[in-house]
Amino acid sequence: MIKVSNLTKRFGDNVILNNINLTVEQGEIVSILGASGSGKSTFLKCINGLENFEDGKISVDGLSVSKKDELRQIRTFCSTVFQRFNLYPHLTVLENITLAPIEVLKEPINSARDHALLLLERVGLTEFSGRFPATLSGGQQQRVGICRALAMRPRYLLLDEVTSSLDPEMTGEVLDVLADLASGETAMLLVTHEIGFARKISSRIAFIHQGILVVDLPTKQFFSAAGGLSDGRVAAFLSKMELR
Amino acid sequence: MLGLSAALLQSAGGPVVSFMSKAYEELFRNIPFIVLIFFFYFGLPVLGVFISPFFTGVLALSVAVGAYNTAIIRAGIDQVDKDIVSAAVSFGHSKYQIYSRILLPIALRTSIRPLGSMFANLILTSSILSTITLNELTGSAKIIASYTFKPFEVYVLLMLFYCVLTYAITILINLMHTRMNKIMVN
Ligand SMILES: Nc1ncnc2c1ncn2[C@@H]1O[C@H](COP(=O)(O)OP(=O)(O)OP(=O)(O)O)[C@@H](O)[C@H]1O
Ligand SMILES: [Mg+2]
Repeated sequence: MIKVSNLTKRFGDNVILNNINLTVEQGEIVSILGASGSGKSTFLKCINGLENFEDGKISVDGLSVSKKDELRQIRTFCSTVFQRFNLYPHLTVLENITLAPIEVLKEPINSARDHALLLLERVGLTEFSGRFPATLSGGQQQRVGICRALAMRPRYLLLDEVTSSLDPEMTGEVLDVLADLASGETAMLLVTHEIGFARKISSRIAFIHQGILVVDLPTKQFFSAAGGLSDGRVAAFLSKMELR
Repeated sequence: MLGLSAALLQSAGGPVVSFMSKAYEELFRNIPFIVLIFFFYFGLPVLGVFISPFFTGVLALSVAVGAYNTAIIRAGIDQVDKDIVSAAVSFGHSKYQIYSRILLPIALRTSIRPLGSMFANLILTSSILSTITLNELTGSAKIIASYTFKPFEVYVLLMLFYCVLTYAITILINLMHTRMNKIMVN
C-alpha cells in the first residue's frame, strides 16, 4: 500500500502540495487529475523520493520514503514511467530494459534478457531490441519506457502523463499497452489528462487543485452529479477538458 | 586521467573535495605552461626538490592538461539531461552505477572532441619542454640543426611533422566522435 499522510511540499515560499492524504492499495488503479501546475508531477516525485518534502509521511508497503535505506528498497518495487520517456540514449532498447534488473536487483543477465524480450513482445517491439532510443518513434520509446519499468516486476507503477508528448495515434498504442497491464496485479498511480482513459481503467480518481487534494472518489461516483461533479472545481476542469 | 578524476571529485564529491578540485582546475588553467615548467625545473630545486627534465615534463604536462580536461569533462557531465539521471535514480541505481553506466558514458561522448583538441594541444605544448633540455621532438631537432648547419630544412621538416601529427589526431578524433554519437542522433 502506498500511504501518503499530511504531505506538504514547498518550493521556497510557495506551497506546492498542501496537506495531502491518499492511499493506493495493492493492485488498485488510481488516477490523479488536475490542471497544469496543480502539483501532480511533484506529488509523484515525492513518492519515489525524487523530491523531498517538508511535512507529512509517505510509506510504501510500510517502508518510509524519508529513510535512505528504506527508500532504496522502495525503488526496487515501485517504478516510474516518465512523460518524456527519459530512456538512456547511449544504450540499446534491450540494455535500457535490463540495466536496473541486472545492477539493482542483481538478476542474472540471461534471465533479465529473457524477461525483457518477453516484455518487448508484449508491446509489439521484439524486432527493436537492438536499436537505440533515438531511432524509435515517440510511441515506441514510451512503450520501451513501460517495459523498462515493468522489468523490475514492480508492485507499484507511477505514471506521469505518459502520453502527453505523443501524437493521438501513438497515444492510442501506449494506452492499449497500459489497459492490458491494468488487468494484472501491479498497482498504478497515474497522472493523466486522458479523462476517458482514466474513467475506463481506474477504480478511483483523485483531483488536485492548487496543491490541495479536493476530491478522492471511486470512479463512478467521481463522474456522478451528486459526487465529484458537485464540486465546482472538478466540474469546471472536466468541461474545459471536454472542450479540447 | 587526472582530469577525469578531478571532474568526478568535483561533481560527485562533498563540498570540501569539490572545492579543492575546483581550486586545482582554476589554479593551473590560469598559469602559462612555460612558467609552470620553469617553476618545477628551476624553482623547486631551491626548496631541495630536484626532478629530472623528463619527469618535470611529464608532471607539468599532466598537471596542466589535467586541469583543462577537468573543465571539459565536468561540462560534459553537466550537460547530461537531468531527467535521464532522475530516471536512473528512480530505478534505485547507486551513485557509483549512475556515474559509471549513465553519466560518464554520455559525458565522454560529448567531450571527446574537446578532449581530442586538448590532446593535440598537448603534443604542441610538449615542444616547450625543449627549453629545459628535454630532448623531445623540438629539442632533438634543435640538436640536429646545430649538427648539420641546416636549420631551415630541419625546422620545416619539424613543422610538417607536428602539423601532420596533430592533423591525424584531429581526423581520428572526429571519426571517434561520429562513431560514438551515431547512436544518439536526436
Ligand atoms: N524545481 C522547482 N522549483 C520551483 N518550483 C517548482 C519546481 N518544480 C515545480 N515547481 C512548481 O510547482 C508547481 C507544480 O508543478 P508540477 O510540475 O507538479 O505541476 P503539474 O500538476 O505536474 O503540472 P503539469 O500538468 O503541467 O505537468 C508549479 O507551480 C511549478 O511551477
Ligand atoms: Mg506534470
